[in-house]
Amino acid sequence: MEVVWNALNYISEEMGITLKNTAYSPNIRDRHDHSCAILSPDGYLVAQAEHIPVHIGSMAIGLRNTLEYLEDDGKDLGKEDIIIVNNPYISGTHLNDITLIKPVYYGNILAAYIANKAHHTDIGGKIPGSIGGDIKNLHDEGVVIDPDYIIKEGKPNTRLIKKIMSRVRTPEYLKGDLMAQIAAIKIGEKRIKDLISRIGIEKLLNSYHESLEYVERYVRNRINERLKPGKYSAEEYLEGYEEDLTIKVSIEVEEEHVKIDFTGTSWEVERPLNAVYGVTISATTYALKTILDPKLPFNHGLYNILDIYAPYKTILNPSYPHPVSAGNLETSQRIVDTIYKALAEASEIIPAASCGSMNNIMLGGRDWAFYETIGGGCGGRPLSDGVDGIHTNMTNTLNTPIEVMEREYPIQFIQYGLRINSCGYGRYRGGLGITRAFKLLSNATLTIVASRIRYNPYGLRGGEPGESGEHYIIRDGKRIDIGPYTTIQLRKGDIVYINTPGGGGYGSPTDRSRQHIKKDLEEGKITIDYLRERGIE
Amino acid sequence: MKGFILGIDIGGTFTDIVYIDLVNMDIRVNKVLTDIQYPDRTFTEGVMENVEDPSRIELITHGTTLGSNMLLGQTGLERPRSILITNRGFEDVIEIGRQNRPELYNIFFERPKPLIERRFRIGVSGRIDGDGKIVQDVDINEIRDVIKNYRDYAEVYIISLLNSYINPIHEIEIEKEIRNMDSGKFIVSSHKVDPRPGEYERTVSAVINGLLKPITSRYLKNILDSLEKMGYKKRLLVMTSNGGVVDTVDAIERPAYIIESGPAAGAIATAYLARLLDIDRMVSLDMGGTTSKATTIIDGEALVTMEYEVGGKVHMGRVVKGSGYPLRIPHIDIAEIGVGGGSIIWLDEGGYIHVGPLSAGSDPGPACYGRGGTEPTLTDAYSAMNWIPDMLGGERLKINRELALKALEKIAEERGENVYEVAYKAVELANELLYRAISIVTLERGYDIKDFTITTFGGAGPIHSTFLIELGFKEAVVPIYAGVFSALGLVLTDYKYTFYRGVNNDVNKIRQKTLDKLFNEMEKEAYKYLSDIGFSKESIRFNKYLEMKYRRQGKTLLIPYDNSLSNSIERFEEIYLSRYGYIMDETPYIETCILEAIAENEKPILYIGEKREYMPEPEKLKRAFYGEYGWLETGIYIRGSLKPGAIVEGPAIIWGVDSTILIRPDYRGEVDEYGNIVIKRG
Repeated sequence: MEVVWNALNYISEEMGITLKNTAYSPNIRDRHDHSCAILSPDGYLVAQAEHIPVHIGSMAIGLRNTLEYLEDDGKDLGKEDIIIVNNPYISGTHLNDITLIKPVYYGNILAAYIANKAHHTDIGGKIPGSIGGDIKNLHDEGVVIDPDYIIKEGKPNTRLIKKIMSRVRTPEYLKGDLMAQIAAIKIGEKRIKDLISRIGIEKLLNSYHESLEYVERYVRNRINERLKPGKYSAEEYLEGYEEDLTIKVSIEVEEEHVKIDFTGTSWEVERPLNAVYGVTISATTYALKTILDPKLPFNHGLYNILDIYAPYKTILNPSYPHPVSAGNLETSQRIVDTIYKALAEASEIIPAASCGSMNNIMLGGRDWAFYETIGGGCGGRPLSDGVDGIHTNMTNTLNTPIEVMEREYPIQFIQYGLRINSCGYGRYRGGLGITRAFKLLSNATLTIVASRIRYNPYGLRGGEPGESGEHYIIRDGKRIDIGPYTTIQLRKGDIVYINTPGGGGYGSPTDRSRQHIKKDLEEGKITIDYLRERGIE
Repeated sequence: MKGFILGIDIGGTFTDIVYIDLVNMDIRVNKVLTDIQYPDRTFTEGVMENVEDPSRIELITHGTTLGSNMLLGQTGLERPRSILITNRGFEDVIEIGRQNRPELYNIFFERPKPLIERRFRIGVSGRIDGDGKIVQDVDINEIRDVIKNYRDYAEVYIISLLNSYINPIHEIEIEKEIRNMDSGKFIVSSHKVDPRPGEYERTVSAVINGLLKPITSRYLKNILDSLEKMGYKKRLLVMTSNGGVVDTVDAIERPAYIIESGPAAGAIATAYLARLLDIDRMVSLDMGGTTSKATTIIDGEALVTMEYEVGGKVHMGRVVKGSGYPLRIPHIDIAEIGVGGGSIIWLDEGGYIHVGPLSAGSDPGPACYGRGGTEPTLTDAYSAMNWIPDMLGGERLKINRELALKALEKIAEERGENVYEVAYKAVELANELLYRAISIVTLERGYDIKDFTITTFGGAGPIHSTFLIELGFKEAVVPIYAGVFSALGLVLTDYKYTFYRGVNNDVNKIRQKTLDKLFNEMEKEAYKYLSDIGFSKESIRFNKYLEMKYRRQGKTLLIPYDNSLSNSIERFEEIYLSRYGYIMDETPYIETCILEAIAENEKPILYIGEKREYMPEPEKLKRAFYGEYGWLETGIYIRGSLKPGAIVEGPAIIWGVDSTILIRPDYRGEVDEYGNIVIKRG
């Protein structure tokens, strides 16, 4: 069984490699914003290779939903059919994430489903990049695709592909990326068939149930070792458009079971901050996995142990068609912050809060769109400082090289570096945020989706909070501040400054060793003034 | 009269020396401990130990991992004092890297330490834009101040500026000023090392070259001096990471090229074997104590890649992006996976068996070595199933099977299975891991293993031969000297040097003439370069490649180039289609053109004698375990006594001095005229 399980995980990884190697958009090819998975014929996710954590868990829920939708809708899945879907209320994240799914048949036996999900830079809607903005309805965020055939009996559904392409800002990229997703599906199918010819169909089919039980067993053992039984709770806040939002969690750790209940969380909003249930699952799964065991094997078996509940019509389980594009980004980060805060008493390895925002930048004009996220400071940790300028928690996408940006878009960079003094100080300090600044060489629309601007990343066990995010535009020498979720028309010559939050500190700053303080100064990561403000000489 | 050739492979722990007498083709091998403080002493002592008259040595080829050991912070190897000059406002590019963390779920992750501390990264004015136009000039007075401030400190200056891959003018101006004001220092400019887009990767390439320069230069000069004192006045060659060799002068000029010269040697030995046996598709599998390395050999050449991370962590055979320092210079495309004879067999929390990546190493080693190891390893599994002899390494190491069984017992109990089942399952899991590494260099590169022969070597490789055939290979070859085959590669390689130029345009916007001109330039450079070293024009051959993709993609394919632009489009589409299953309706894009110049060295002859078919009698019979076949009476053969033409039918086990070959039922092995054992089904 181990052999089959290993092979399935490897096949999902290999699908990911094909996808990234052939994709057109920097977001997938350079930033690896995609995931690949294999499901059993009865619709349980058995293996997944994900490059960013926000896809872990949401695929398990989303793909099951998709299969159920197809059945309810009377859509047959033939041997050579591939289904496309991006409706987040079905497939689980936000519209930019297009999911493809295909059955793999061995003769007439359904051997598996294979699927992948990739973030397309633009999916239409009112905002270039299709994220954030002053949006009240899912349909204004972009094209909503309910499960449909992108390939039927081996032939591409050109009508649908053309329809999608006609409604997005960068159709060539979308097409190139979709082709890459199809190529990855085909590689996955081929590898599963190779596997069957090596081990036989029986062995594969028998392995699924076993592997679910295996993960369940594994997780159960870990809970005993890593979490103190008891009841824990915490509250954290997320900047809203008008009113700020609350995420509340109560966690009950039992011997073989963990109940996570988000009752008390804010009701859904007519703003893109709602996180579909799939995202809530992802963020929760991520947080628990980091605490229980970074190598925790993952598949649907986990959910026999984790019991995740988010009340319907809250921002963590909204109703269709509330907009959701930023729920995947900002709300998901805050879910992790809240769970960590609650479990700080149940586990000794919980860090202070990390940057807590993905610092999303959407930039575009009539025929171009660009999307990226910018890292920040990692929270201070028991025994070590937080890492400076890096992606934390729910994202791990790569940056776009400046040289690639300057060649492909009307942008010229002014600065890219660590943001001095932005760390929360502590016995172990938080990591520094990042400063990224660029000048526009033509008019463009800028949308920023970034939180932790009014609520700093918290410190832990006496550590200071990290510096909050600070974003602004320099136009004709004057500074215009930008709030957490802003869309603004930029003029040629405007300079955009993004200063991302630093991580919270861990333990009291007075306990910080002289040696560490000296090194901070020597490296120029903090200044003498910063120390003086804290009364450290 | 002919003399000797020597191959010396200096690793972090051991130094392997291969010694070949060109008169009688006698091959000897020696393994000594490396002196990390003075590796040049290890080198010269190693030479002395084997050779009475150093003046009779014809050629010494050297492989080393000192470079990567230094970068990984091995004690005793200090980094030189270096400063990095870059654009103001972008000093942290090398620290932020690609802003991703190497481990997704580990709260305690760390990123690799920046190669140059923050206070020694100096931002200066001057800016080239994305199209190569000058936006702001370099301020030469500012540069002079920087040099004045740092010349007492710096041993090495590294210059890396934005967009210098399109327009290097500012890097050239700064370099010139440093030469004027602080002559004699080491200087590295990024555009010379890695003229491609991606400021982080290019800067890393430049910095690594800069950091390695002083130590490489000192080390090689010391060796040359000592060799000269010993009476050796001929050339010393150094193996490069792409499996060629270069002269010491080049090695000092571009030390990043030799950073992984040790691991390349095994692939080179296999490539030589492929040419010798006239096999056009071969996979080399080097399975040692801790890891296994797979490489693909096509038409007698090992595949080369530009993607590599120095000191990177390896996950499932691939380097984890962001765990090391990316180095975009040609390396042999090696997939490495953490499984070897010393790999520990363990149970996870869910009760699944795993093999590796932790290894018992050589100390304490597998339980059956009787040196205090209690964790079961793959070698213990082999021992439990009666696959390996009671003595290893030419009677130097006694194997205690009882200890192996005892170590495996713990796992067997917990799983409610017998020890032999556990041992066999561990071998199956190891096979799956090997398959993974092999897939990376075959399936992922668009090759079907059904067309391939696999060559298995290293201490543990040959045991897995028949299992690998079962995964889809045509046949397996276990080469002569299988246990030290890798070091043999050092004396089997040719002089090889790679030149490249950026093209960065759509194919339909490039003229044939432009490409011809670029290749001509590189050929001229190559001829000059190689004739300076002493090669005749006739002895030099070229391999040409284009790195191609669709414009918007990030990853290129390496396309062999036959001097025709139109053919290269066809080749690209052909290779792309076979790898990914579709092609786009658009013109491909050429990123780089590459010229590989090769000049041949003298090599040993490995021929042993004509093949005369016969069925040798087994030395003895022993019962061994074969999973689903159960326990079978097995013929045991001694490798040294098998002559060309010997046919051994499975179940059989062939014991060699440094490795064991397992031939399972339904397979047969035949000794060829070079002493290799070719294993086939049936």
